[in-house]
Amino acid sequence: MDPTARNRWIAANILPLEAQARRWLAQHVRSLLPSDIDDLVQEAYFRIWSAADLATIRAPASYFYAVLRNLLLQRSRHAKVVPMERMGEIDELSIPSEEPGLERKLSGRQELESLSRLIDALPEQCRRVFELRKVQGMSQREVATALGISERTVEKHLGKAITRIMDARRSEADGAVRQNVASTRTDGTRNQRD
Amino acid sequence: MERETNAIEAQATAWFLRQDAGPLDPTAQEELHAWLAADPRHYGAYIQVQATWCDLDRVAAHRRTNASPPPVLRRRHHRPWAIAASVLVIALMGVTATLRLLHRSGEVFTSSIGEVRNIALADGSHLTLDTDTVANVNFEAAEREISLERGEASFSVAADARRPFIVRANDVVIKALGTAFTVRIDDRKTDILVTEGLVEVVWQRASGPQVRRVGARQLATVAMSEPNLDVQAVKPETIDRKLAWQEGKASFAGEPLSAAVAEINRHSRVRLYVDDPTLARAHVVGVFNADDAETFAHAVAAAFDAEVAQAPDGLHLRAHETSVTQ
Repeated sequence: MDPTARNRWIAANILPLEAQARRWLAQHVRSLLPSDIDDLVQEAYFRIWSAADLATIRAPASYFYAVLRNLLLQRSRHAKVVPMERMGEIDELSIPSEEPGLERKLSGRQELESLSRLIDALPEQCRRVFELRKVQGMSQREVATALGISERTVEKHLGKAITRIMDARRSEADGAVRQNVASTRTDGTRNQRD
Repeated sequence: MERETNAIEAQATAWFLRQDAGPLDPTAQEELHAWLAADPRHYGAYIQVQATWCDLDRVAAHRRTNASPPPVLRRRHHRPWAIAASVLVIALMGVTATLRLLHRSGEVFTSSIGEVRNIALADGSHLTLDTDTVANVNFEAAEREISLERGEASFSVAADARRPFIVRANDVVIKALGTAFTVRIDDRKTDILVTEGLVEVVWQRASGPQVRRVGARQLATVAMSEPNLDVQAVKPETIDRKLAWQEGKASFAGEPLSAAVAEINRHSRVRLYVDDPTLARAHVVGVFNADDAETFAHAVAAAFDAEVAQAPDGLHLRAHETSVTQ
């Protein structure tokens, strides 16, 4: 797979799972700090990107979770100080057998619409810069000329747009997971995991 | 749950945008490599940003097709001297040779294999290039002309009665007025799919021109092998399938595997081959990522009880020794 295809694969299969994976880690390994989770997730992206053949990965969710679990194990083995309960938590950490991404994949259009709303919610000038660069296909320099601002400022606005979108996607998916958990609980009889 | 912005992520975003601004000079390039190599988390964060940016292409396309018409932007497509020159040429109407030359000096837009590219044009029209496509845009005072040199492109035309919008593709000329249509060419034929409005298709045959009007939800085909321009009505579902590439997808509803493979091969750098003639006639149904030949091959292999073999020239689909299911 060439780099563009790899990006697309990661964008389609891993990005939408990130929020759920973060929650999974936070819920089951309570001794992890938010910064530990950032570290694990970033390193997991690197591992997945470097995987020899992305196309053979049939269940991206399970794969992503397995990579995270392995990284957690490795880190704990190498760390000088490991919180006491950590090893036990990792041992009990099992990888959800269902594929949480499935439902999401089916509603590609909804996902597009929600991303589109995130762009609408950007601060005015930030959104304008983003749209000129990404929707109208101008270069950063052309955007700077069109709006009469410096290229440096264009870069700053784009940086803000990317950060906001990445953060918002994480917390939005977070909400969706919470809803799922809630609805499984009202069911009463079933655990969310088998 | 509010998350503090991660320092590595901020650095990765900054690096990504520096590269997006223009090619890095060798020193910066080395710095970036050093930064990436220093820590797998750096690399991971960079990939996250890159994938997010790539994902936003889909949203960009979605916004263009679903939002109210975008503001008309004055992009400087022509250098000032080119505009001056065209005015001069209009003044000297006799100098046709120069006019031709100017036609060729327009802006050339290209997309690489696997890429779908959206371009806003100076008049408010939009151009979307499918994989491996070359289009030459020449906008002048009297007319807007685009010649499709290779591949497939969609045109969403801003209405301007005084400046016809003309697309040249192979030996076919398509004239539009405030409409949306897609043109696809290869060596043997030219397809014009109209999604909105009306276009006039002029086939400049050696034996004399043939002119047809093609309306919304109609597909005009000009094939080398046929004496006449063919126009057929197309169902909305078929239009959606034919334009799936705008969202990076390839969609099949029972086409023979050989045709589906040809379509995937247009979008992917990994080549697919069907080694078995019976297998090549199997009917493919489904939506796939257009640039992901490997996943497509494995899905097809699973569906038709075939196998995928890796070879130096690409992936070969062939029947299991035992049987081929049709």
